[in-house]
Amino acid sequence: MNADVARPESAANDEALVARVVAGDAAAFEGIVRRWQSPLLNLAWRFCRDRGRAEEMAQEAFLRAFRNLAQFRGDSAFSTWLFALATNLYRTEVRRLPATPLSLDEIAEPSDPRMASFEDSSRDESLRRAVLALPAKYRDAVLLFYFHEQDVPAAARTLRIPEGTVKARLFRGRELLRVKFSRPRRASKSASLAADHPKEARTP
Amino acid sequence: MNAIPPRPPLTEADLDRAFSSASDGILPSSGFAASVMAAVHEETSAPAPIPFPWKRALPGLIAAAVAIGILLAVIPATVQSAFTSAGQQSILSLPVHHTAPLLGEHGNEAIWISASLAICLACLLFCHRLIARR
Repeated sequence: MNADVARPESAANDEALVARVVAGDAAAFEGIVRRWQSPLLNLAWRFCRDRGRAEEMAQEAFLRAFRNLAQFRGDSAFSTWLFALATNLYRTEVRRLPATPLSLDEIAEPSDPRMASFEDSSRDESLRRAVLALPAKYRDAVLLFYFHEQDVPAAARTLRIPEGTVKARLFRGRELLRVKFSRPRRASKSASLAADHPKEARTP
Repeated sequence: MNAIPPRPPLTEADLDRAFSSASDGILPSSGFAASVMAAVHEETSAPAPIPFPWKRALPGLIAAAVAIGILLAVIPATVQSAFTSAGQQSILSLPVHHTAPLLGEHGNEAIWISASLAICLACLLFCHRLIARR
């Protein structure tokens, strides 16, 4: 899904559609919606893990893009502009209404590793939920890195931060997850992330 | 006793698997694009916001600016002249806690506060009149 690395003809197509919409042809926006609905929806999904909410957030992102399309100057790829706009919106939305009301330590963990396949999917789900409970800056870096198929420069462009910062946040985010998932089961609250990072733990 | 074996440590591969697009993605519902376009059309068909009536407001704004300018110029001068004409005697004859606001830095603050209050009052009255006309 590395949509950020758009093929030249696709990028040209995007720019042509943008030009038509800016010139007043609102119907041309449908081409943009059809092309980018899946990436934008999936990005929203990764931020909230709720299909209904993800669709609402993605729709709002498209509407915001439509309103601000004239501000797209073509300095970067259209996808970069669109993802940055959507990411900003999604971050604001999950700050307003967090995707998970739980702290990192309250995320359910797989119960018994002997149940191999169930364990895998259960652990994957726990991991995804645990990422949402990370402090926002680490959560965003991890989500965007994997959304962009592990492409650090693309994640950095979307987040509008230097690549080095993305790498550092990614490293820290993974470390927090590693600590969480290597603790003895039913780790005590005293060892919780909130205790480690009282300010960061729940503040996006 | 059947003890639960220790959990294997989290690896990069675990993260990659959990977050790969293949395992962690959803497809847009069939009507998603249509609903986005409906919202877009609704937005385009909505009447444009009423522009601010600059032509009608301009005389009032200029008058307000002039009034504020005059107030700012006149009030300090008036207070200053009142100060000098009343003479030091009467001020000094007041108890200390009464004279304090009229002297030095505090005196200036009092002037500015009264000027801002006057401007606020004028703005309120102006807004009231505008609303009453509707």
